[in-house]
Amino acid sequence: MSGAAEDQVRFSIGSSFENVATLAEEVSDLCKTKRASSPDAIDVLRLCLAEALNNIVEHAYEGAEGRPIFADVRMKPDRYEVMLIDEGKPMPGGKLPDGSCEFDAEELDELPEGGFGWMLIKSQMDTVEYERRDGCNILRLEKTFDA
Amino acid sequence: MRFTSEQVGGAIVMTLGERRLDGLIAPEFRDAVREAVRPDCNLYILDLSAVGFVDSAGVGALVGLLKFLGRERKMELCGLKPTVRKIFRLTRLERVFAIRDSKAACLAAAEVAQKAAS
Repeated sequence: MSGAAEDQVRFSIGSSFENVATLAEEVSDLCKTKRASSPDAIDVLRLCLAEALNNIVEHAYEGAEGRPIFADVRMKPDRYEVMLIDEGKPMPGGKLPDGSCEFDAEELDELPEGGFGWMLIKSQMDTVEYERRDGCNILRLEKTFDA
Repeated sequence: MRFTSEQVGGAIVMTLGERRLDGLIAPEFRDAVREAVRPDCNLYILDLSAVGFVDSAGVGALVGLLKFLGRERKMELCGLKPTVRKIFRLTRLERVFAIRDSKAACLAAAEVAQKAAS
């Protein structure tokens, strides 16, 4: 970590559903400690990170354990930025899923049982960017702190 | 997985005694709820007061169970911590699930409904 204005921390784990659950907790705990962010914002961060990291294990690594996942967390005065990096398969079509999840609450049989993950990430983060570079998936999530 | 179910009057009260309802536990949880279904019971109360985190796979499993139970049988959720309640709000599934504060509130509502029907 360097300087008070901008702190950067890198987390490094091997892929597994247990490890990513812990990582989502650790990163959100760090953001809680570093900035007086509201509990609400921290809950949302924890949830979005858990969703994005689960996708890496499930889709990019197709459930394989022990593959590298990095999380670079940058704390800026007004926002945090988390970059998730893995060496797994690229996103289908080389781009982010659209994250729309429309449904009619009255139509029980038609309710979606999946697709909530990207919907949450895209609706709750201020910036969601995906890039494929040098055989790596790079997902950048950014959120401005509450005033 | 810590999960219990018991019959209370005309309802089945199920309690998930885990800290997380996520993709890791969702398949086992789904099976346990399906096994708790009784032909003569139409009300299924799920107590989530021990649960501090639900992810998209967890809510997906709950939607699947709601569909499995169908229109004839009701599922009510209770004991949701604020962080858990939030995911229902963010996914707009709050409108889909019957959510009450406590197990007692679910049972009281069931009793009122039963009296009104008889």
